Amino acid sequence: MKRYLPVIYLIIITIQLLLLSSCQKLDKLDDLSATDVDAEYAIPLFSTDFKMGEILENFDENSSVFFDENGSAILRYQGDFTSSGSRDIFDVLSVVNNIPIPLMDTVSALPFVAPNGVMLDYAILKTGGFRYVFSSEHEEPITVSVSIPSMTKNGEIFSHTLGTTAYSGTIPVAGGLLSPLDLSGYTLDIPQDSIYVEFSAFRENSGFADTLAGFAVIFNDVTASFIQGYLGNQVFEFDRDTIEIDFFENWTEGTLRFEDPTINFMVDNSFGFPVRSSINVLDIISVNDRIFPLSSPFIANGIDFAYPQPDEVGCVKQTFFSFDNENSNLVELLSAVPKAVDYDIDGLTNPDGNTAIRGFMTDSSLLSVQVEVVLPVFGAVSNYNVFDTIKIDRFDFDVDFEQYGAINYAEFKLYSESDIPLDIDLQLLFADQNEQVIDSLFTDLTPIVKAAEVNSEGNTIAPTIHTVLSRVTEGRFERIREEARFLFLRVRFATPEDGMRSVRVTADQGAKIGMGVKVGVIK
Amino acid sequence: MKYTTVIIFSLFCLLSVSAQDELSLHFLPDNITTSRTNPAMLPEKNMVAGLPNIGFNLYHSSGNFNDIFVENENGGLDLNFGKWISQLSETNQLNINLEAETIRFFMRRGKFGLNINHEMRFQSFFEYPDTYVKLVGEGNAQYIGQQVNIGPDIQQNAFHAIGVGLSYEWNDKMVLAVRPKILFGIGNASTIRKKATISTAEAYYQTTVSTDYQLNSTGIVNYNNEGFDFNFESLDRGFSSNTGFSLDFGVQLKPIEKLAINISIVDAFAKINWKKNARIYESKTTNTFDGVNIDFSKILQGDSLNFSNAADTINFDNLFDFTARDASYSTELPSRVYFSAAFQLTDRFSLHGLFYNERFRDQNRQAYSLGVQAQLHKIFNIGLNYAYRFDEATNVGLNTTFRFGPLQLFAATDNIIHAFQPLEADNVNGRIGLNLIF
Repeated sequence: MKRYLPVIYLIIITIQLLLLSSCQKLDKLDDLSATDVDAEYAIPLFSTDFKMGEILENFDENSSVFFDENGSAILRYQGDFTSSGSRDIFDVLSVVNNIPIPLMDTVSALPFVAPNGVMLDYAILKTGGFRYVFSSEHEEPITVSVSIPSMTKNGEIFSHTLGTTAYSGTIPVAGGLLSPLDLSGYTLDIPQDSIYVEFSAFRENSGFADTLAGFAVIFNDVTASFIQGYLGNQVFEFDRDTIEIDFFENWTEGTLRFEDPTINFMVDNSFGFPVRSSINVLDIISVNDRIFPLSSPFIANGIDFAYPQPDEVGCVKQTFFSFDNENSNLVELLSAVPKAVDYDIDGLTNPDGNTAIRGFMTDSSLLSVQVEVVLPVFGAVSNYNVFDTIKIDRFDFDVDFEQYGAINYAEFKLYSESDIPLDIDLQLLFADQNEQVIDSLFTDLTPIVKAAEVNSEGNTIAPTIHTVLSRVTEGRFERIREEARFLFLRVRFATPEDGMRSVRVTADQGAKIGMGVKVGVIK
Repeated sequence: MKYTTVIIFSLFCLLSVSAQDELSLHFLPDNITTSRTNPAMLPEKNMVAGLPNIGFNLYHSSGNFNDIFVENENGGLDLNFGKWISQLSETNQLNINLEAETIRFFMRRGKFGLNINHEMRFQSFFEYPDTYVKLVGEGNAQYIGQQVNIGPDIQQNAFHAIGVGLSYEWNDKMVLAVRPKILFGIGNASTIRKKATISTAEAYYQTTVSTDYQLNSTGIVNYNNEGFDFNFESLDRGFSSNTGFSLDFGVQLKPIEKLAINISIVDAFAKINWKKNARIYESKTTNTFDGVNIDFSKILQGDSLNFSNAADTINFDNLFDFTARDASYSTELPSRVYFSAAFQLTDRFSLHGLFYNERFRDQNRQAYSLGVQAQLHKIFNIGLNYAYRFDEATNVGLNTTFRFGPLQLFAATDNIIHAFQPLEADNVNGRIGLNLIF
């Protein structure tokens, strides 16, 4: 047996030697790379899916987006709410305050002449005080009575009686009511601009009425909660305001036409007399900082605001007036691409000076005005250019194609599926961290979204699909991946037929845009 | 003694090198190891002890190792996608079998024979679609607009088998044998459902992965946050509670003196129940990767573009979205049928023919072999055979037996051309071992 063992050993050793190279190769499997690769990988890079409703709602800070019953988008920019109260007009009553008014006779008509042509019929006093002083030549006690027939409350005339025992052997005797009587709640009739006051003195010892040597009345703090009459030509002054429209802030060039834009005045009025607008300024300021005054007959002639009738005290009447393409050159001005609307408005009372109109006001009467710019997204645009810069993080898709080989090209594919009736062209430049352009995806403006088909009314009837390819070499691809930190976008919008066709943008119109890349790898 | 130690050590080293349909082995004369293919094929001696023998089988339907892996200038290996892809079929298989029989003992008393053995077996069946490779080597751009199958089918089993065979010589014309085997599972990884497709849309190459996939594993394959990972160290286990059963049955007929007909089925009803460390990974989902989703309205408001999230979402493991749970399961093992005939031409030469069928997962694979055995010397027997195996016609097998006193050294392969260069072969097997004959 033993003599055969070397032979067996040699056989096995031979087998092992033959297999040795195989063993060594297998050990190298742990450090494997690839070769003879000629591959093309296609991966999606990004996608976005949006509806115009979402876009418009987030587009600028100042606007509100509304959608009508058809879903059509409407941009609404509102100015500040501005108002004017009744305080100025009520000041007319102050002419009687704190002035001693001597009465020359026991029955006197105190003249009441309000400023600014105001002619009051009556006023319901909210506050007020009444005092009187007198002097007596009578050498005996007297009792003084005073009444104001023009002033009644609950059907009773205002009156007051004051007895005095102040005579002490010397005349004249001075007396009076120094603490004011409360006039609140009294109705003060002012016929023929006069306030009638009567007084009398009763000689207590003699037992008969007599006159006084002097008598004067003093009103103080007279205010009204309601007045009626002809309230003259007053001016309600409102603050000047500017409505910012930042929808077009990135606009650079192109034409724009809105079909039905309006500038709306919304007026609430609880003054019971005519008020007419006095528009001092109503200008459209374009994105080029040019100023275009709005032209309309209603600017010169004014807008009459509705007002409550005498039997509508406390009611608020609303006036809604629109400057539109029928009564102004608004459409023309907005084609200059607006960035703001500047306005300054006042209100004129009784603009026609008709004294036959006896108006009223209360202490809570208010005239308020709000202006809004309404831009229905219905119109046409051509060559409308927008520039924007988007900061990007590194194009790090973490797909390490280099493990398979060397990248020799990358072909980007931009896909769009849109039912928005807008052609969108894009020029996309890559810039480094110093905002220096290093490459481009589309050197020139390149159509990336084709406008959806629309009918004669500008409504979308069929979506469109569009794709565009752009191939870059390996070197360019790597540089973009490594260095690009900014995207410079130039986007050009146009409605169909080179901007001649007006279209309507609705909330449910949207687009899906995606970009993928084919990467060629060779090793 | 020195040589004996070296020989045994070297035999075990071979195990680490490579992986038998056992066609050529089947023709070995007077060798207890042939009872692996038919328990009724028994040695002439009444007592035989089988020392360790090792068999391997490597089959790859689409190229050999050296075709696919080439040395690069740095001394490392490159995966040659071009050559690999050029040899791919729509469906491709990589099968590796390693079998180490530690001991076998045969004893005959009268008409009865007792045949006991222990072996360790590792079976690996990996079936993959060509697109599984082409997607990487050629890219997915060629499949834009198509749904591509990428679901591999994995069946890996490692187990101990202890067989106790009993044979009965009915008369001098017929031997019947049966060998039940108890199996102790070491490790398993197996796919139950294997639907996994990937499609790339035409629009902007959106990638959609659709799965109905189930992988059962006892640790050979683990899944974690980074995806699947093989852990072959888990096979370093002894006997476990993962038990199973299989049955070998054989019959040898000798209708005439010079003709022997052998019929057998090996590993019938083979099944292992996996309980220890058994986990089930499932994925039934459809996920689409659209690229980085950008909120366009926020970009309009000045947000920056950020693509960094793309990394996670494009990871295939994330797209598969596997869930894992602990659960026991069972697997079936391949069964084999041998039908052969041997005709003794002269004292020295005999002719053989064999039909072989392997059945696994409702699939059958056949092989056919014709051979001649020559007893060239009293200590030396050699056989040459030709086989048509698994749709391949270039298989020239060789077997040989040396007899040194009680020591019987044998080797057999179905493809001698590549037996010593397994990395040059896409279909190679072999077995080598020692027996002691008393």
